[in-house]
Amino acid sequence: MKAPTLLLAASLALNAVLLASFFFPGSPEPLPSSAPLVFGVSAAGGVAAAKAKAETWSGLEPGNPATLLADLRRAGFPRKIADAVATAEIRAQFDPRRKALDLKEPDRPFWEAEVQDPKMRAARQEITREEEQAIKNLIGSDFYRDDDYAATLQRRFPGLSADKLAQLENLCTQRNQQVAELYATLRGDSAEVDKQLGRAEAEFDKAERAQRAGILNPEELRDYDLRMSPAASVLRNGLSGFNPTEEEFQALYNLQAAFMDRLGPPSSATREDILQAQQGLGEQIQAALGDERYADYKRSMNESYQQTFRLVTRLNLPAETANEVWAIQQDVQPRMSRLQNNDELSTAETAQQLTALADETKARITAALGDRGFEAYRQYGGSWMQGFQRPGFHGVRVSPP
Amino acid sequence: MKLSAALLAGSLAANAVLIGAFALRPASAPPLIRALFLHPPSATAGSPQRSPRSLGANENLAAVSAPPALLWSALPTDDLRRLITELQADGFPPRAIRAVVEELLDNRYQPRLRAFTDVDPATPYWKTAPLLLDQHLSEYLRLTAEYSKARRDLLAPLSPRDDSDVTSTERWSYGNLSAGKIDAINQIEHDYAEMTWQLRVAGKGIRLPEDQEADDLLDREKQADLASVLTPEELEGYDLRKSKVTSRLRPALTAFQASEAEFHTIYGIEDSLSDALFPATAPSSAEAARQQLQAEQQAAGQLRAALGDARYEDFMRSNDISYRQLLRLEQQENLPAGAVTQAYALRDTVAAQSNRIFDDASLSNEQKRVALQTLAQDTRTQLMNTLGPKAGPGYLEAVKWIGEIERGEAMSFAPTLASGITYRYRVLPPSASSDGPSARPIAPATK
Repeated sequence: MKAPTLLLAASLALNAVLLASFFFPGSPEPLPSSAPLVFGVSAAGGVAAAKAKAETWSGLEPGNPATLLADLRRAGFPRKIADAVATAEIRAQFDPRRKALDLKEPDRPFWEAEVQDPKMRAARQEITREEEQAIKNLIGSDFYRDDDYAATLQRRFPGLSADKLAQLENLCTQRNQQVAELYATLRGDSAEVDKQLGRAEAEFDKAERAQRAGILNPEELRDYDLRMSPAASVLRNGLSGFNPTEEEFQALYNLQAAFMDRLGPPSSATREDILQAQQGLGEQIQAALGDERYADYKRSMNESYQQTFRLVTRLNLPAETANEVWAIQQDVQPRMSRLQNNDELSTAETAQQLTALADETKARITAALGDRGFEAYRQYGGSWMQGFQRPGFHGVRVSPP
Repeated sequence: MKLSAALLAGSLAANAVLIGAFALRPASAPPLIRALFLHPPSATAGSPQRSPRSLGANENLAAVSAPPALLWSALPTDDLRRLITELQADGFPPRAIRAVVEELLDNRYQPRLRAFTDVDPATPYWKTAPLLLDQHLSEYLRLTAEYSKARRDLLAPLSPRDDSDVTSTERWSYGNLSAGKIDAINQIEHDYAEMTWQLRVAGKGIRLPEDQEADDLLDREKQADLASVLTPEELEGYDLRKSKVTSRLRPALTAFQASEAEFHTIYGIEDSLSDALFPATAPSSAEAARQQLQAEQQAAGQLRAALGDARYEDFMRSNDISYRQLLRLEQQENLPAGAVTQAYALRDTVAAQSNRIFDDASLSNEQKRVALQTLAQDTRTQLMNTLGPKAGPGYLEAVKWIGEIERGEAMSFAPTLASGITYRYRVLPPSASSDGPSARPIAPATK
């Protein structure tokens, strides 16, 4: 056979091999002349290479998580993945202790609650504490990093520079670390712990905001607060159906933020403090919005209205329908209460009149929501209608109703 | 001739293209020649072989052959099944491979899922944006299902367990099933919880009748999946452990310290009447309320007959959350013997006294109010003395009936299966000096 023909045949054969390999990679085979894979060091022979390839993991010193982590990072493993692999090794080191403790747990019948002996619970908590400390020592501040927060920042503030985003993420990481370290030191019953934590978090929030002001310019800081602050979230979650203008929202935000700053953490405030502060806030909001919009605002903050609004949305009805149903409730409830407290009616007469009122209410709400919607309304926003079943209040109250 | 020359040229060009592709993506190269594309080692002939161990410790990697970044880049991270195979060949244990694959799956799916559920940056900050837009719902649900399936398919084989790994909590939950069956059940439970959650998301937190049909369908399918893993006896045991009736009974049965026979007796009676005893929504008509009351009386009668009077009373007491709170305090604070019984019995005494005051015709309403306030304060003092300074405040915070008596109400109570205890309060009319309607609707007592 002539050389060109031989060359053509060889080239075509190589085409076939390379194409097959590209589209059908198959299982990897050990490298003939490198092992361990991590470091690409030459080793002699295929058998040694296969053995060395399988020793890649043991070559990373899995028994020494710090070395393992460093090696994985040097080998180009992304930070989170290297952290996760090293963390898994640390957790595996604590598994035998957990297992030994678990063997001491007495069997309980399944119809009894699983109640842990306080000493066993304390022992488990100690293992968890040691494990967490080992992980923190290994991966450092990564332990406290909140990737969801970082992703949220990137989505909501596309105009912020990468440097500012990184600084904000670091602030969040530091805060998470402060809270976790404080929490580990708190003792006492849960109510007392909540109070101490609430007070400390309020201080952390203040400090974090001051630092944020050093990172963002005034316009950026305002934008951040309006999108991310607790006060802004409270408003957005509570204003179902209110549909504020930008000016209204800003006015409400200023008042809400000042209110929350003054009140401090909820766990530290007494019920009287909260009620008094809420009354003051209500007066300020009324002055800012005017009477008509204030009425809309109060309606939107009512839990029963909020449930009705969600129901109307789910039923794909116009948003205005929620206001119609609310108006029916505002009309009927006082009439119900007057019937229930009318001394001149007997219990039977009261029951009869309440039934008539209930029928009227059902007809009006069904006209707004439909039959299906009325049945759902009983559960979502319409629990007040249970009052139709209580003609005999007359000085007697039952709990639970 | 010309044809063969053209063929040769074309074939050589194709080889050049393929070799170039392997250079860019070494993982695709045939294993035999892959090393050539990972950059050949720079170590000179005769240089000493280095063990991986020595290289792990602060070695100057510049002296070592391959730039370390090439390892990660050499792994087929776009093809997770191949990645798992390669890491297994590299000796990585299942937990390490699982850690890698979990992160890669998260990276692949979480940003896409978040794009659906996070607020659209274009939404003005003063608007309440819905969590998940209707037009994106089906794609979001499809992606969630795909993510779950990928996790299931890839991660489950990486978590082999043997029966010695079964924890005490799992034995409590599942009985003496094998680790393999427990893992299978966990996966089924996770998948159906995921699908149920998807329905809640789609329903925006509102349940309509058609949602119940969808839930029922899921329940049937879940039972079918469980039946494919468990024997009929095992499935019956699973259903018993996981039933709503058992969950509801559990707090009371713990305090009651039921035997197995007693559990089955109580379970059987409550299960047969559970729809009427524990309706999904509060009775919305007099007829529904009457049916619930009838079921309550029927169940109480059957329980008393089956358990006997003494154990029936024990069970009803255990069903009272106030009693269980006292038991918890007894354990936590090492209360003296008899403290729980004394504190619990005080309510009976105080209820009777409050009604005597209320019915005392020789007292004016204002005098009754003062007497009831004094009764409430004395009760607080007695409870603090009985339970001590550590347990007392917590219990007083929890029991609301003392506050009602303090407000001028006479209290009576009755145990119920549905709610533990039902309280009835008779309310004094508002005091004569008050202007306008009282804050609480009050009318004279019985007509």
